Amino acid sequence: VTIRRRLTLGFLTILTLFAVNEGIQYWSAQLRARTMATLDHALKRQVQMATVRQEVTNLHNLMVRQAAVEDAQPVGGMFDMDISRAGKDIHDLAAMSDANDRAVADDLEKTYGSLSEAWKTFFDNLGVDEFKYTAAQLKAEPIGSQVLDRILPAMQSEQNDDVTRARKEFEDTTRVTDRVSVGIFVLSMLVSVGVAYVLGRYLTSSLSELSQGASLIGAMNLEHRISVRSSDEIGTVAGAFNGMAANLAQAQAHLTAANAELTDRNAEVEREKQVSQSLLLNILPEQVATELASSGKFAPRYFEDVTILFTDFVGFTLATEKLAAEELVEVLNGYFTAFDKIVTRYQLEKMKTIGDSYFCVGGMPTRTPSHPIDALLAAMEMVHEVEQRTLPGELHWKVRIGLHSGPVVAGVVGIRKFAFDVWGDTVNLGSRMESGGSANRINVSETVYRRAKDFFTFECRGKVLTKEKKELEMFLLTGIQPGLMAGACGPGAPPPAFVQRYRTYFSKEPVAFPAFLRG
Amino acid sequence: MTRFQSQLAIAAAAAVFVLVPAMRSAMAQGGAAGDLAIVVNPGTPVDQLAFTDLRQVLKGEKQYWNKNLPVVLFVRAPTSAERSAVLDVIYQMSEPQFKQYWIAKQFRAETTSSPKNLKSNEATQQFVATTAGAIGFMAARDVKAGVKVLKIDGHAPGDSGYKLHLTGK
Repeated sequence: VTIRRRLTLGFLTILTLFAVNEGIQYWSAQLRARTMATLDHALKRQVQMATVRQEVTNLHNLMVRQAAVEDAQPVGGMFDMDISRAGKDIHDLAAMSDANDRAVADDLEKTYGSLSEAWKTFFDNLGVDEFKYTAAQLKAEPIGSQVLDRILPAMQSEQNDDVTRARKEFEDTTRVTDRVSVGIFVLSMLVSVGVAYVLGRYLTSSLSELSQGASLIGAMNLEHRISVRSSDEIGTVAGAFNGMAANLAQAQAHLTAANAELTDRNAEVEREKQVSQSLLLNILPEQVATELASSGKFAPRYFEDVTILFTDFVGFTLATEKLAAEELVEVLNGYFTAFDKIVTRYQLEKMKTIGDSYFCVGGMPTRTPSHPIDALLAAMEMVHEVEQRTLPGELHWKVRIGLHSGPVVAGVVGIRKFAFDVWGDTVNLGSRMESGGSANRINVSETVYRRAKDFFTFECRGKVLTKEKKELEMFLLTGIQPGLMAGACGPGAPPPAFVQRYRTYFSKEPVAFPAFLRG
Repeated sequence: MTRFQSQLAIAAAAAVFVLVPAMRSAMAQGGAAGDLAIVVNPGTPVDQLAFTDLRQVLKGEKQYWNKNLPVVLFVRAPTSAERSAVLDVIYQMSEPQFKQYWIAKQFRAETTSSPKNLKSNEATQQFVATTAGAIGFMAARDVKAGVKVLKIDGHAPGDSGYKLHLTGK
């Protein structure tokens, strides 16, 4: 049964009770009106009867008193009107009588006819003819007595019974109709309250269960099912909620599976991205790689101040003849791997290797003012590394290192096997510093000398002729300023004086310091 | 008052003072001629009454001779000797008291009938003779056939010991 039908039935029930109540009220009113009419008729008849009795009594007493008057005078037709009025009232009383009282009323009317004749005779002969009015009185008295003592009392008694009966019937009717009305009203109230209670309880419990279930489903408890079994609108809504929960559960399962798959794919992508990034970082600086990955290109950039560092192994060509190709590559890889670590430690940027030549730059792509100092420290470590390394066959390689500082232009060229590279005269001069240097010595340009002389000691070589027949002032690094090596320091820590000067010049701590110099 | 009326009144007073004692003397010697007879209709079922019963009947205290026969009381009109004697001996009332007595009974609804005044013994004779249950009183000398004269306390008018006389007590 649907809620609409339940509500309709409830309202129809209440309306039916209301209609019954109205019907009872109408019936009660009709019944009361009928009994009231009966009572009213009985009371009117009773009043009429009392009037008749009074009129007859008055005329009778009048006759008696007139008869007692000494020397009564003729009165003529003085009382005819009173006699006629009493006769008319008796006639009206007879007309008001029902079938049961009709015989008595007719008897009264007939008897009064004789009585009125006797009275008329009496009053007509009073004071005129003693014999006639006395005879009329003798005739009227027993008739009057009959009317007053027998007929009217009998009628009045009957009428009183009628009035009593009508009043009792009216009271009984009123009592019964009142009780029926109250009963119907109470019944209507009980039924209305009952219907409202049943409907309200059903709706409240169903909606409460529906609300609770909806809350649970809304809280993603998708296994919950609303247990409304009715086939009404609430049952339909509950079924819809249950269907929705099932669909949501299914969708959630699909989503979970898709999420898992997506997570796996993301992880795979991330792994591939990391591999790609790692590969990219191996050939490009991090900043360049990031910009290239985000925008797909790297715009050429001008760096006004960098330090170029070139290394080249002395007698490499001879070494290639003494070592197998595999051993040569292995040795070269050992050196360059060590150089990579040194360059990384001193935050220099490895550019490339060209045969046995190793090329890196300081102060790029992250600009830093300390790049000549950092590059010289790295170069010292490189020389030390070469000096310390022992090669198979008692070979001892030596390395030339050249440095020069100046402006360069940096960029990425090519679309396949592209490489980050720098161009400019500074690069060439750096290379000339290397080629113009000595074995296991660090040869620097005047520019580097001027910027590093407060930290290092140099040996001036004077002007040296390059292969381009140009004379360039060159300096060989001899070590760190002795004053900067003063002061005790812990293992792995730079000397305090060096640190202090470095901090004074560049407002930062040294990124690294050659361990072999710290004893 | 005219002179004729004054002379007539004097003559009447002289007649009262002279003639009444003479009549009393004659009645005391001569029997029923001065008695007051109680007469009833011949159909009335009584021949004699005790004086107290007679008083009840005349005062309306007893209104039926029997179940179906009401008492119909006739009295003589005021100023008659019979009425004066009855008021004096039986009712023991004055004229106004007598009238007041019956009006009161009527207003109290103790009776629907009252005494009928008759102006002569002849009328009394006639109505008592023709009215069932009728009772009246009249001078014994005027009683004629057609009515029944009751004995009072066993005495008929004219008997010695009869209590009712036209002269009253």
